[in-house]
Amino acid sequence: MSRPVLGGGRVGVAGLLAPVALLALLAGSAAGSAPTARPASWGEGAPNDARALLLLGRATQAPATVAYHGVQFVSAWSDTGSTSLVVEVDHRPGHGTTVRSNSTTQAPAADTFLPADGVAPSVIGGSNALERLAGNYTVVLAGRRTVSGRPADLVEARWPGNHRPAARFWLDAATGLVLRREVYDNQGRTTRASAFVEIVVGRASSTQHLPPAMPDAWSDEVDYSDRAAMTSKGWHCPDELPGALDLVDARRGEADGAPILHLSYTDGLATVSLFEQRGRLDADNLDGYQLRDQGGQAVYVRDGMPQRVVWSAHGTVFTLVADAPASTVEDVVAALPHEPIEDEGGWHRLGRGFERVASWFNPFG
Amino acid sequence: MIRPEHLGQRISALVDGELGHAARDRALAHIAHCPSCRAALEEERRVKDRLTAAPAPPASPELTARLRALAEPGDPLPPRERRMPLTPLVPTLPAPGRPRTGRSSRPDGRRDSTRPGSRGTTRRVRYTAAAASAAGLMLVTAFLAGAAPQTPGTPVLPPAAEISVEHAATTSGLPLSDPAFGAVTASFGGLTFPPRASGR
Repeated sequence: MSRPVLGGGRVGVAGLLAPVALLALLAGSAAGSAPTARPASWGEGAPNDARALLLLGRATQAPATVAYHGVQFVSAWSDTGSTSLVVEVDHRPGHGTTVRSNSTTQAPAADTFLPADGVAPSVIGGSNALERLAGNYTVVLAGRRTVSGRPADLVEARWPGNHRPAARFWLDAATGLVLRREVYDNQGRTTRASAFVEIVVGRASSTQHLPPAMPDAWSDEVDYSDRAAMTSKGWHCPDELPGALDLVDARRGEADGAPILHLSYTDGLATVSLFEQRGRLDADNLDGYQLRDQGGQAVYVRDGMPQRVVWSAHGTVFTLVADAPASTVEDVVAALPHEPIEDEGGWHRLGRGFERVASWFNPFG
Repeated sequence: MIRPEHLGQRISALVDGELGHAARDRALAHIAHCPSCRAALEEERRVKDRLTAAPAPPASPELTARLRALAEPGDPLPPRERRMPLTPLVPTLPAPGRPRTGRSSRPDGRRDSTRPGSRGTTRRVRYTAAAASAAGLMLVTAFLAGAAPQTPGTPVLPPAAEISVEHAATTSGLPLSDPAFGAVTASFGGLTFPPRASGR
């Protein structure tokens, strides 16, 4: 492994202009009067910091122009456990990012290539996400730090209610690259963290071999009129979910010859995917899930990052895949359709049972 | 820069997921800088993976024969032990010299209804028990038969791999998201938590 190289990064003209445009969009209020708009239920927050927004805008553009490779750890925590992984990351602007991980007791070794043009849906990416982040959280500059030997600006996104940090980004002072990220729940507990412990900026690794690329998202995009037609046929397509999660993308795929709907939601920081299939859940063959009462509903949960929740109701199987705090996931699950866990009560069940038993002995029944 | 001391015994704890949040963070940061600890960690993981994958040692022929013998027809199960001694429902034979009539042996001449040997009492207890059993059986049968009808529809198992890739493909484009998380999600469905919590 090489030692970290200080400086050496380049930011192109486009990379400098785009953040300025974003800044005009997002932070006009920060320099003067009102804070950026956010859902009324979240309450009023402090104004966003214009310098912090400028730095975040620059960070979103940095991978388009800056090559880097290094060693990074990724960790996730929940109420039920935690796990970590060390990966090697190699990024080439315009090509994509290679991520290599060694095998551990929890995960096999894997090499994945994320193409630069294959993983950025137009709706969910770009300035929309930063607008949502600035609209739903308060973004401030929290000082200067050092990450892996490199000076970094620390930017915080804070929860609007209690002003605790919801996420922290350590942004490379020289290039704008995100060197370290931490995401917290609304009680201040870290739920996800990733950081470079070694990084070389300015050039990619000399390795020429590229692993298999991650497949593209399903190509059949579902527009507004399609969604309306699907809703009339019993599909559930909410425009928003609890936690200020807005619908930003909808696609259709196929599983075992039957259609499967994918709805993507984000608040600029958390992401939630809702998948819907016709039928009832084959719970006996679910692997790695636990039956749990979540938000008053009986659902099957697989903890991890992302968290998965599966259940069926009214002839539809719902699968929720969430990179979001547990409290948000519970609210989302509770807001979606469910069937009662128990039927109408013990006496009703007994009555139905006696009727059924009587019918067994009734020769005319 | 002064490097912290090597991980030593903590490597084993790291592999087993027994380190706390802060300790794990420090250990991972150290490993990324320290080739010797990294090599030790990989060796520890290799050994553990081999142990996990190693087949169980074959049982000896004698043990196999004894286990097979257990499966062959044998004696009936011994009678169940009752936790509390119950009053016997079947009257025991009277002791020699004891009167066989139902008359009371009490000095006042009244029947002793609490005496276990009383025939009328035994009969009543028998009938009551039989009626209670029948009613209980009826209730249980009705309760089981009265279960709500199963939700109609084709059984569906969500396609885990396709769902993981689709989620990663649509969310990896989010600015400030971590490519490593997207790659890990697409490759093997994300990070799953080991059975034991790490003492958070």
